Amino acid sequence: MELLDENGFRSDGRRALELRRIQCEVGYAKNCEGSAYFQQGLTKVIAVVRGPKEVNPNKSKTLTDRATLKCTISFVPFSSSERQVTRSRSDRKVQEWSLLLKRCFERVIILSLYPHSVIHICCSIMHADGSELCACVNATTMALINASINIVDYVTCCTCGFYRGGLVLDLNSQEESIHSLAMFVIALTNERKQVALMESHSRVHADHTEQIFELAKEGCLQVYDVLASVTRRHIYSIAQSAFKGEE
Amino acid sequence: MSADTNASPEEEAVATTPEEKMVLMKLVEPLEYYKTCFECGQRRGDERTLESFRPINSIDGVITSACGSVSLKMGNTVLICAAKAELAEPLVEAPDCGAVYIGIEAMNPELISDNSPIEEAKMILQDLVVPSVISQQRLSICKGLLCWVIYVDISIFNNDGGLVDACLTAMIATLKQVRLPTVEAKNSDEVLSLKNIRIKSEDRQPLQLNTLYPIASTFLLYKDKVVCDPTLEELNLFHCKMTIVTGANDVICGLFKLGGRETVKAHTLAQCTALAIKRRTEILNTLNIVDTSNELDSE
Repeated sequence: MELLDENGFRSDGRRALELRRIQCEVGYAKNCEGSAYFQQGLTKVIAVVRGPKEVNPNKSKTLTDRATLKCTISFVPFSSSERQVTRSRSDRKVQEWSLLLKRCFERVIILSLYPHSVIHICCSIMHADGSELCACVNATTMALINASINIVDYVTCCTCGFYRGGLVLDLNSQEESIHSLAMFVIALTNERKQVALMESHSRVHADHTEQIFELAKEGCLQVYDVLASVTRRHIYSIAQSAFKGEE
Repeated sequence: MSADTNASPEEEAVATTPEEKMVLMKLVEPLEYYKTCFECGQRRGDERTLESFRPINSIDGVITSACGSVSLKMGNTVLICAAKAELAEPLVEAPDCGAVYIGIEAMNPELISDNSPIEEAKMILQDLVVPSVISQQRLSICKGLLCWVIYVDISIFNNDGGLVDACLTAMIATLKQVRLPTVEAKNSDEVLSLKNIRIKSEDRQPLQLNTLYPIASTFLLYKDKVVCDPTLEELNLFHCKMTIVTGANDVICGLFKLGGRETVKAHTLAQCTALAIKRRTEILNTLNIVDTSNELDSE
């Protein structure tokens, strides 16, 4: 299939540099410190943050100067069009993504504030329609803010594609399966524009990487506008309900 | 100094209201708190009487890649159920039957610390759904060659008691949404098999369920009291629960009392059955499922 038609639109009616619709919600779960629900198009992710709490089973693995971060990414069995039998721990895609998420947020969370403790991050992908790792990173950022864990900055993530000299943003699952499309998953911090996570399995010439990074900045800024507005609205509603008692 | 020591207990006594006393009792001595509530016949935690159930909210079609899906919320018990249908060859020992497989797992295993309610629900529902909710003969397309296999997957987001009730209700609501495409032979000369099929996705038929529509209700037994729809905290304190699954025309599809301290008397069982029948009517009204057996009987 072709990526863009003759008028410059994609198969779902978007232009090349247009994101899918983002809906997000913080405070989704009740029995944990922080949780967030993130939906971008048809990709739905729930992120849950527990901790900082005591390391119970293996105290010898406790780090004395900073917290230990544990990340888990799981696909529910009905998340894609083919039913996946319960993925065991040895699933390499899930293992790789969990490690990528762990290394991304080890630089973002100020772990030295919580010595001798562990922070659990669990992401459940409920509907997979492309850019699942981006949705996990964005949902985890909102969940960490909801849990009041100290982070240096917002981390937003988006997918960039390079196809026959043209750039596209926020690929869905049909566009990801195009063979000659180069796909990049880039997560950036908001203030300093530092790269927190980058993943690519494609072949692309080195001359195009700079404009791919410029496109990633543009996409992450759009995602940040949505995340920050939802988070500020949530904090404003908490403050409003807190000050209502004084009136 | 003696005046100060006399004044402070009075201030403490005045500051404590009865509601705060109940909250403190719930935190410090939860067993005594719940015993007092059960003997008074009222639960103060979520303002329910002993004979009232938690309301059920369900949202259909949350997962578009599945044949049917339901997001169900019963109090703080939240789960997502989805069903997928695949074509397969039937088993050799049952050539004219399809299959229904049920998978129940926690969405975040770290959040749900106790795994035994999930194992219990898996054990109960696997033996209950196939004869009561859907017949395997209706899933057969061609005898010995082709049949439908339906996978029902339930992801539990939060467990606050009543897991069997929520799973069975979500499963019925999901299977009501399943629409299977028509399957016919691609080459009409050969017989219908896995290699010779053509699926017409535009022509979809609803899955024909049994008109039994079983609904589970869980009760907590404490002396002679019956506590309807207990929460997880109450279940962990009083280890005696009973689940009754009732169907159309007031039949009992399943009766599960897995151990526990109390014994069940005849009048207690009759009371639980009457409450379960009443709850089944309310749940079917919530899910907009018409109980056709009653209509047939009335005709």
